[in-house]
Amino acid sequence: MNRKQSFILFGGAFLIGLAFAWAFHTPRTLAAGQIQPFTQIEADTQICPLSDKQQEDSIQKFAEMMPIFTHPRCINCHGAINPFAPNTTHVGGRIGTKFKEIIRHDDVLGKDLTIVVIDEDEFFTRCKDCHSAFTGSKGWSMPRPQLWFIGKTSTQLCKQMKLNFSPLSSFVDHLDKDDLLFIQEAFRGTRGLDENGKAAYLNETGKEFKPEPPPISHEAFVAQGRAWVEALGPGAAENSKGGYTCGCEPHHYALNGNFDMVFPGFNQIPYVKGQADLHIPIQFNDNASFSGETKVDVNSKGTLSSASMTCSETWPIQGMTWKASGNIDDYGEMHMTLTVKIPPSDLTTVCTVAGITTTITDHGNESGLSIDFDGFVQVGQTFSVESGPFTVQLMIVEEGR
Amino acid sequence: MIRNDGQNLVLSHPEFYWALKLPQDWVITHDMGFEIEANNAGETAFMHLVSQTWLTKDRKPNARAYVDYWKNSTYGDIFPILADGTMLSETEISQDKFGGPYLRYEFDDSKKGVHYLQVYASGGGPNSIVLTMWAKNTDYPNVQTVLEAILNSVELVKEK
Repeated sequence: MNRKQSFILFGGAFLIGLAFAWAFHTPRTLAAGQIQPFTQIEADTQICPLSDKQQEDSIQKFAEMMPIFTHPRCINCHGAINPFAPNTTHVGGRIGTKFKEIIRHDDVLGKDLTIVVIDEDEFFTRCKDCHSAFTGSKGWSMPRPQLWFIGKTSTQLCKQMKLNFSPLSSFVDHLDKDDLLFIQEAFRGTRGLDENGKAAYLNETGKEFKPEPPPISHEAFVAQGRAWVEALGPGAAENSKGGYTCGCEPHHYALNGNFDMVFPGFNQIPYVKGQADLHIPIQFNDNASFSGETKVDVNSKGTLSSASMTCSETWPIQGMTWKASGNIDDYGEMHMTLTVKIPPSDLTTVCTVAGITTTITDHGNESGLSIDFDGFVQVGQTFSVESGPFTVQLMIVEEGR
Repeated sequence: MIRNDGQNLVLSHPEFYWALKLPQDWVITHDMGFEIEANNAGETAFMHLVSQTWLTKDRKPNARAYVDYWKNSTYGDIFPILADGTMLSETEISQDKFGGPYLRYEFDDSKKGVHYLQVYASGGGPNSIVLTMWAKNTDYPNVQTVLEAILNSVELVKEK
């Protein structure tokens, strides 16, 4: 066998190996088993799978509810007037505090203890001195501060609603049929005032009491709530759709990361290697599907030596296309296909055998592969996919933040 | 428990972990052990003590934590509990007592013409106390010394 025949045989073996690696790859995802289960943390790390229009519409639709949220019939109980606070602006004055003993189990001591607490029954029974016309069967109560509306912007209130109502159909149900009947009472505008309450109102303000309901009907308010949920698109009513900021403030995402590609040569020894960073802006559609693509240049090269020969290879790839497409399902799981396309590019092999150097240029055709990924991914969390010659590290990041 | 030491009524409660002294002429109008109310014979000066007991996990390590409890209560900021008006002062007192320092406050309720003195104390034990005393502005100069004496006598009792 002469030198040229040896080189051709070697080169042929390399190309067959490369073709083998390409053709018989097994896509493998690493992320699914490694990802931490979602836990609610201060920052919202759930992907918000809304199109630009859905985001714009949902933010707008929620803002349309603000005149009601901030109307005295709603906001007075949600933080604007605290009848238990000193210097309260409650027309009926401050409701004083009583204490009582109750028995509670102490988990640390492992026994029941008698403890002294505020007498809540007394707190709210006092409401009925003036507000006994309220028809709620469970009587008066007050939302805890986390549920107050006072001092909150439309965005903040929107997040509050998303945190407290899941699925979002329960938000609409609450507006429509508040179990405690406070919302129904609010739209009557009467404050549940009885004759004594009206007399106290007259005494304190000098004005005859007249019902002051919100400016739209209860039905119209429910329709506003429904319109907000519908603006978040399919699945929002049945689920929460995205995290607590989704549908309340805009989100734009990109896939950031990098990839390594390794093509084996003779006997599967790593030969041609390349790497590049990736930045793929992604755009969501109305059905929670997404897509995005980018092009990168990769200068791959490699060297292989044996006792009888040394080969080096260069494979500059201009405009390798990385396309990401997929969707976020109703449960928040991401299903993504990464499609890689390598444009026609010259692969140059220089081999030296017994002091003789030969150069071969292979005019490669367009080639490519797809890599599938399924898993729960949070914003800012790295996940990995491997397929054929590619090992890809990616992270969903917020654009413009 | 009420003991007369010849000069004062010495009040304490072993299950609710508080103690204080009242002048002999004061009348106790309400006594639940965890809560006691009293006033002077002329009904120009008043006091109200509450000893709030906790589950172990809810114990308050110091007076500031107890004040913060009221500022961030289930019902929002309802500090000062059992008193009203504009805060005139906040002072640390009783550094040497168990659970000290305690926090002393003065409030002026100009609408009702009432002057309040309050003490909040908590030492990480099973209870915290809030002592509230008040008098009408017109009576306050005459009873201020007595109120200050009661205020300085109150203390947390260590759990045995």
